[in-house]
Formats: sequence, structure tokens, C-alpha cells
Amino acid sequence: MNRRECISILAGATATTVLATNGAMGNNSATAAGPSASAKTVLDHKVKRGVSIYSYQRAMMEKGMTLRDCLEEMSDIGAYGVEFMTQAMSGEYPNVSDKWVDEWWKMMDKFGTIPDCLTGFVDSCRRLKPMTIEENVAFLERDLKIAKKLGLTKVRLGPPAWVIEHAIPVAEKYGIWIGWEIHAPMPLKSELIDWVVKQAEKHPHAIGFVPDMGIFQKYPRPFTRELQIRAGTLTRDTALYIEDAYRKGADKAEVASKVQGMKPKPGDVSYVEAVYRAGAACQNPKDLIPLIPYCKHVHGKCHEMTKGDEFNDTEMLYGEVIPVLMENGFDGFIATEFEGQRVGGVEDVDEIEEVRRHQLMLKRILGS
Amino acid sequence: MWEHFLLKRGFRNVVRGGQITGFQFKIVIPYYRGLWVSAAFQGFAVRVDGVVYPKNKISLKIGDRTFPLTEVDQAYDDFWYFHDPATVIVEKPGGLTPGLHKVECGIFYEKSYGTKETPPEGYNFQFSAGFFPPSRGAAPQGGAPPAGMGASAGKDPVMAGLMTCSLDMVLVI
Repeated sequence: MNRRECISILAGATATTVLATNGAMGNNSATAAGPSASAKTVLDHKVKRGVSIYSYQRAMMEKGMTLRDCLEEMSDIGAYGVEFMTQAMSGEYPNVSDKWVDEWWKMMDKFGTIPDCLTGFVDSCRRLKPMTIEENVAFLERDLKIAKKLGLTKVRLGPPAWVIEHAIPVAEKYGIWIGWEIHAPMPLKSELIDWVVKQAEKHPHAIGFVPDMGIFQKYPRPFTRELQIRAGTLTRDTALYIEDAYRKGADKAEVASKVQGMKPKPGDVSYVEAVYRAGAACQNPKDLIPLIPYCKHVHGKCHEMTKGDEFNDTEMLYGEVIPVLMENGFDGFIATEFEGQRVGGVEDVDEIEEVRRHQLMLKRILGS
Repeated sequence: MWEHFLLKRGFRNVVRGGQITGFQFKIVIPYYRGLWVSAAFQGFAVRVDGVVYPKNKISLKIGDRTFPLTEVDQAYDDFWYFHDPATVIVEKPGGLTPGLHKVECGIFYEKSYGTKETPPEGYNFQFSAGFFPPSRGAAPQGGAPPAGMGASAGKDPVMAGLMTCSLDMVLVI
């Protein structure tokens, strides 16, 4: 059995765990400069590192970075789980040739990367007139077939719920698992969550959740602060005082009143509200525990990492969430989904570096 | 980051059978992935030197296929690739004169994070239809700007509801 057959057939947790370890060991030249995976710690818990190629969108569009370059980069940093977006591939979607599929598997072999999840879309609103459930399911079926060929055993999807429900039998037919993305500002306790759980209870191999770590955003993004300071509407010292007070749990009214005594600009005053609102939709990481049995993939959302060598996310509670995933048996990849390039244009956001920083944070917490 | 979707390269007059029949220019996808042609051009407007060109004078060349703008809704299974610029071809006998022209382009593409369908019974919970369900069946032009788009168009009725890009481009024959 070759690697392609092994991944395609075993595609479950065992195969990916074993292959993640083998991939790292069989690829010494690629990993020498970066973090190397440790077999022991991989086996202690089942959380593995991956990257969504979404993270490299700007480099792909504007700097000529290819899928091959993305996979090589992921291998270099020991993030072996591949989340792939068919709609970002060039030339062949939705009619993918066998030649392209062969190339895909050759790259997987070369770089030791593991096909994991497809970033899928229902695209039910692509026409001016509403589309029928049957049309939408047929559309999804074609994507699921592509996923199957590429060894991607999971597909990240979202609304509409009634289309997803009708797609479950199709997913079962192809042995693909649909992960409904829990994306901010969705709460972890809601009718939607209950609905997905109900489906997952009936079809555990066909549907579940992909939690996006953006639901644990507690702090404001530093880049937003810097833009306002640059525009002259915000005072740096005041802004940093407000953020620090928020982190320490100071009362908002007290902070606002103190800011009034700092000869504030209007932007300084409104920044109190902005900072205290940053975590308004933040979920309690412990509320994820009952849903972990239904999770096979996680989106490691990231907008901005800290600049120094401490390797922390500036907004999200990774330090609290990852241990929850480790301790409660989450079995799958956390795919870094860097999205910081979508804001601004003032700075040239370096996707490669930000993903690497994010991966170093994950490695520190995971131990491998 | 997506608002700079007009390319300077590729701006030229179109010659057919020895006659200048119009002009063309190229645009890139103002999004993070490829789009279905029907989704990409749900709203579209071209204005050059203040002259607005009607939809029936515009066609789009995507890959090796050409779509009249009036028929893009039928192209719901044709994919506009992420890396490939589309060519906007505008009918204008005689074309444009050599020199500087102000080219403005507006586009509205439908995102996948919602649906135009009405939730069937049993699905009336929050987010069952998406984060930002679009208004059902509504084309953006002339209407209220959809959420997240059209801010740059201001009160300009031609570009209402569209993401816009404007460039002074040099036409060379």
C-alpha cells in the first residue's frame, strides 16, 4: 500500500497521527531549520498542527506563491495538515483532471503533508434567483467528489442549514465529514448548535463542528490602534492605558472617568468603548468541552501575532483553549487561518511570518 | 486590500475587421478566491471619462469564454479563476482616443455566507441562513448598498451598491 492509498483508506485519526509523525521523521532536510515533531508528544494528545492555504492568499494573488510553495512552507514548519480551498486552485476547478490529482499526491509525498480538510462553500446565492435544494446539493456533491480524490476527508461548510441537512446522505456516500463552522459572532450555546448536535448524533461520521478560534477573541487588534494613532485621532499613552486596564479587569466606568482627566481627544474617549467591546462575543473556552466529541477540525484564526519572540496571539485566548482541546480528546488538526492581510493596506502584512509565529505558539502549547 | 482591482496593463482599443469597435481593460478578482461568473457580476458598471456604458454594450472574457453582461446570470457553472484577470470588453465604434482616460469600474459579487432562499419551516433559528443573508433576489444597482460594499461609491447612483475602483489610464494604440 502506498502513502496515497493509506491516507485515502485510513483517513481517520490513526492514519493521520502515524503519518504526521512519519512525515516529520521522513523529511529531515525540510524540518531541520524549523520545529521538529516529537513522536512522544504527538501520542500524548491528539492535537496536530496544520495550515489553511487561505492564510497565504495575498502571497498567492500578488507575489506568485504557488500551491507547491505553500505545501513546502508548511512542511518546513512542521504543519502537516492541509486545509485546501478548491476555489483558490488555478485552472481546473470544478473539472479536475487526473493529472492534477496525481500532481497533488506527488506534492503530498514530497513534502510529507497530509490532505485533511476542504474549505467548502454552498454558494447558494450565486444566481439572482434563489436556487433549489436539489441544485445546491448537486453542486456540493461535485465538491465532495473532488475532496475524495484529493484525500480531503473533511469539508468545512456553513449555511444554509436545510441544504446541509440534505447533503448529509451524500457526504455519507463519499465518506466525507461535514464540519459546520462555528464562526464569530456565533455563540456556543444556541439553537443552531443544538440543531447540528442533533444531526451529529444521528450521523456522527457525516457532520459535526469546525470551531473557529475567532469565537474566543477577547482583546482588540493592535493594528487597529496603530491606524488610529497614525491618523492622529488616538493618543498612544491613553490607548495603552485603556488596554492595560481592560486586561487587568478594571471597571469600564472608572477607566472612562480616568481618561476624561487625560485631556482626551474624541478618539481617546471612544477607544474605551472599543476596547471593552472587543471581547463582547468572546465565548467561554469551557463551553467547547461538550462539543469536542463532534469536532474533527479546528480553524486557528489569527489576525495579528505579537511582534517579539514570545509568540502569542494578540486577540484570542489560545492559552486557555488549546489545553481544553488537548485535555478533552480533540483528535484532529488545528489549521492556522491567518486573516490579518484583509484589513488595511497600510502595512505589507507578511503572511509567511505571521503563520510561522502562530505555528510557534501552537507548538509551544502542544509540545510538538 | 481588494479595492484595487483595475489593471493598467491590457487597456486598449479593440479592432475587428479593420474597424475599431470598442475598447477593453482587465480586472482581477476583488476577493480571496475564485468566483462563479453569475456570482461575480451581480452588479457591474463601467464609466469612462464620465460616460456610462449600458449593460448591453459590455461583455466579459473569462479564460477562453466570452459572456455578454446581460447573460451572466446563466453562467452559474462557469468559474472565474482566482489568478486570472477577466477582460471587460466595451462596444464603442471608433474606440477611445490615444491619451489619458479616467476609467471607473464598479462590481458587486455575491458572497457565500448567506442565501437568497427563505428558510423552510423548522429552520427559523439564528444563522441557519447565514451570517449576512442577502436581500432576496435584489440586484444592487440603483438600490441600497448591501452590507460591506458600496461605501466608497458614496451617493453616486451609477456606482451605488458597488465596490469601485478608479484609475487614470493611458490608452496606447
